[in-house]
Amino acid sequence: MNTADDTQDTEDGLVLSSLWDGEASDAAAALSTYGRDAEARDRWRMYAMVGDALRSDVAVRSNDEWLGRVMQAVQQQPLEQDPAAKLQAKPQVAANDAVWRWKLVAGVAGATAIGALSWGMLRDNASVQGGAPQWAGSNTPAVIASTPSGTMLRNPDVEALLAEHRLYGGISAVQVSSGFLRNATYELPPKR
Amino acid sequence: MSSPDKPSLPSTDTDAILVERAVAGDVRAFEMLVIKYRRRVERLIGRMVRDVDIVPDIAQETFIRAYRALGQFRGDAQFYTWLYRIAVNTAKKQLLSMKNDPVVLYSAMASDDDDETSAGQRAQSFGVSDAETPDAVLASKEIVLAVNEAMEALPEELRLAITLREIEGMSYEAIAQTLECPIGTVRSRIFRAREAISTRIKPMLDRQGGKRW
Repeated sequence: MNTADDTQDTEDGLVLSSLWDGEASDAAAALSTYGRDAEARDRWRMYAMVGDALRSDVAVRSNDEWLGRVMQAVQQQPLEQDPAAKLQAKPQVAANDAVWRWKLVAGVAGATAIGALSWGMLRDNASVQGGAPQWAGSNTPAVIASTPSGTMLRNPDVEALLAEHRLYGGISAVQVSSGFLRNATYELPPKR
Repeated sequence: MSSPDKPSLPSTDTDAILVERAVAGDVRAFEMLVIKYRRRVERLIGRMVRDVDIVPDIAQETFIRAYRALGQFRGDAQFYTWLYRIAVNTAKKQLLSMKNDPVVLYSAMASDDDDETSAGQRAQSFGVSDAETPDAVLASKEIVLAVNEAMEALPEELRLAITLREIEGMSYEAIAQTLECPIGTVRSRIFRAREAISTRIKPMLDRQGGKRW
């Protein structure tokens, strides 16, 4: 080995040794050396063994077979993604997300609803205005009638309406005494 | 050579860089983490299970699970804390599946975020051995002996630097303050110490078999 090779070898070894200690200023260079140089890989294993021997009374040679099995298995393994990164990478699309199709559908539905409501209100107004003269427009004049109970103001239309909607009970649907209506119909003289 | 006084990243940051590279698809970066933390993970598992034969299998499963979940490591905790938690959970799961009685020592459970040095000290105090066979025990003892002899043979400044780093777990900056020298000098001394020890034990490792260690 010539001087240049020695220098390079020393340089590579220094970088690897620093990386082993987690003190490498140029980790990329160390990785590159490790990737291309079998001697660098031997060196890395040697550092592992020396460290083990110094820290404990046990130092075992790195088992190529075991390492080979691990690395072979590793190469067949898919890497799981970070769940957070996965969410960021592939955002879930909600049905009501701001997609133009949904915007269109929502707009049409909204316009239809507003139109239907407006149309209903307009019809109601028209029917109220048209139906208002039902009583006001009645041409039948009210007459003053003299009854045994006294004088009453009677209208034939009201009499006809009351005849159609005869009240058989003394209690209205809302459980209120219907004395007023009974008096209004006034068909029979009150019992004395 | 690196600039002597270039600011150094703390240990966790370089682990985080290795994790980042592994997540980006650099399997070698993960291999570096496996080699770096394998023994510590095995020691932790060894304190939880009675059967030392299953320790390597649980360690293997731990690293595979860690790799799968690597994308979820956010760096809030230190990498080895995160890894130790996976190791503890994997060992518990394994023991449950075996319907075995887990021998979970209180200190092992309480210490999964302790530093590596104290983990090593606890491993010693519990007398847990990583070696599975008598041959492996013998080989392990030889290595330790050779490393200790190599340490004795080191010049004092190198021995001191690597002791403060490997045994006391001090940062380069703290070592520089202790030894009253620049960080670059600390970096260089630690590297030279490692090289000297490696040179001394390599022939013995070759004798034990295989060029790779």
